[in-house]
Amino acid sequence: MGHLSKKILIRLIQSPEYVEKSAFTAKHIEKCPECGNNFAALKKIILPTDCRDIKPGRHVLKNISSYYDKISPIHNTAASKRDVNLPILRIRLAGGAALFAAASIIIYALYSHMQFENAPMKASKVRGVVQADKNNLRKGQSLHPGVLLTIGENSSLAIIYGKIVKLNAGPHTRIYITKSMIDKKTGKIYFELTVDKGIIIAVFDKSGNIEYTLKTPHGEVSSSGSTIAMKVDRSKTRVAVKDGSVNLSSSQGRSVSSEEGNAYTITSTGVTSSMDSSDEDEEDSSTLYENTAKDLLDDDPDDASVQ
Amino acid sequence: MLSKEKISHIYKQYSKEIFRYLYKLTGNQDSSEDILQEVFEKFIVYTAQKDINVEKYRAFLYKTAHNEGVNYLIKSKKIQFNNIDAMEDSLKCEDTNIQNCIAADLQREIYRVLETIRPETRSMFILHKENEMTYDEIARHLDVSSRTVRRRIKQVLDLLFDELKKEGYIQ
Repeated sequence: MGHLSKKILIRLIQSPEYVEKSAFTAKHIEKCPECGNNFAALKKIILPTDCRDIKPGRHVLKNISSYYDKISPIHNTAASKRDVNLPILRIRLAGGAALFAAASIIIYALYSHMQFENAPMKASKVRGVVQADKNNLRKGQSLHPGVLLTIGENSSLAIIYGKIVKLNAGPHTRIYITKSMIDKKTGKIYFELTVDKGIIIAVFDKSGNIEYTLKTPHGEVSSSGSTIAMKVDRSKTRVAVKDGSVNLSSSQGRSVSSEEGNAYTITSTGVTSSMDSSDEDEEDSSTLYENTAKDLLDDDPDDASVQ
Repeated sequence: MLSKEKISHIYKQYSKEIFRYLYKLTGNQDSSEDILQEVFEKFIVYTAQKDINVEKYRAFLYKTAHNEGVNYLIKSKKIQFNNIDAMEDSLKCEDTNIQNCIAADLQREIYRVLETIRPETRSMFILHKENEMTYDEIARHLDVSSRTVRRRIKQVLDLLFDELKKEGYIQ
């Protein structure tokens, strides 16, 4: 009869449940004195030695205790410092966040500056007294965003952008050019003008490359190409759409899409079409447009066209 | 930071078993006391900086004791045989019963063999043998897998089997 191998004996030591599983092994250990002795010797290997008297000296606890006394003030101070520094940390974090926001704005501005380029309009006709900010406007002068145009009594102004935009403004009109730029990527041109008061006829080419917004105290008119006449007084803005599609909205946000050949009144409360209006004094679209055109374009019929 | 009383209580609770392990690992009373002190000092600093769960105190102490003990063994490799003398003293047979004397001889032989193996493996084996920890417990305390513990202890048993066979303890 053979003996149990080292591998099996070690397995028996490491996994006692193996003895129960293997009836043959258990029986063999019982019957074979050699394997029984070897198993017993191996078992002794992992038995703990008697070391009840082994314990650390009392000085260890004393040393640990003095170490505790030595470091506890440092840690308590550090902990209180951490508490005190918390508001400072918050301020630093807020400062960091503000810096990050500022850096983001600068990067965005630089990116926008690189993407967009100014597309200045030009004064093509100046009659009477027209001021650009505080100076008299001359014919041919470029009009950059940020300029305020004030047209005096018995005066008029025509401004153009190439052959695609023409805007005629009558006496007592005040126009502030907010935006006049071209997107270098798409080639699209954006205009934004604020008309405080007065009358204008605006012709924006319908090629689809333009997007314009005319703001008034009562609302705004936006389009991507149209011909309109606009009268702005204290209480309302009247708009006659000769051609093209225009979106009109009041300062309260109510908006209407125009129909060609219709006239609209924008007040701060809403937008109404002349067809809906019960006011008999109100001019219809063709009358409004013609009257405005007559006032502005009487001496030069070609002014109504950008071509 | 834990209070002084709490530290003292934890010391009383765990110092004996950790000291026993360290003593069996290093074979030297003075070094074991020094290491035990370092272990508790580290425990004080650690608990002052971070909150650790009460259940993890023992594991932290054992892991630190293991690391410190192993470092000590690596550093004092050249003087290990001095340690074994100290171990032999503790295992000296003053018993008149011959069986007990054979058992003491066997233990001395086991520790002589343990002196020759890697400190990490020795540490695991002593935790199993002297502190009667299961493989899972050792794995949990030392942050290793249970399989690694089993494999390392099997290596020790293999070696001990061969050495004890040479010495005639095993046929």
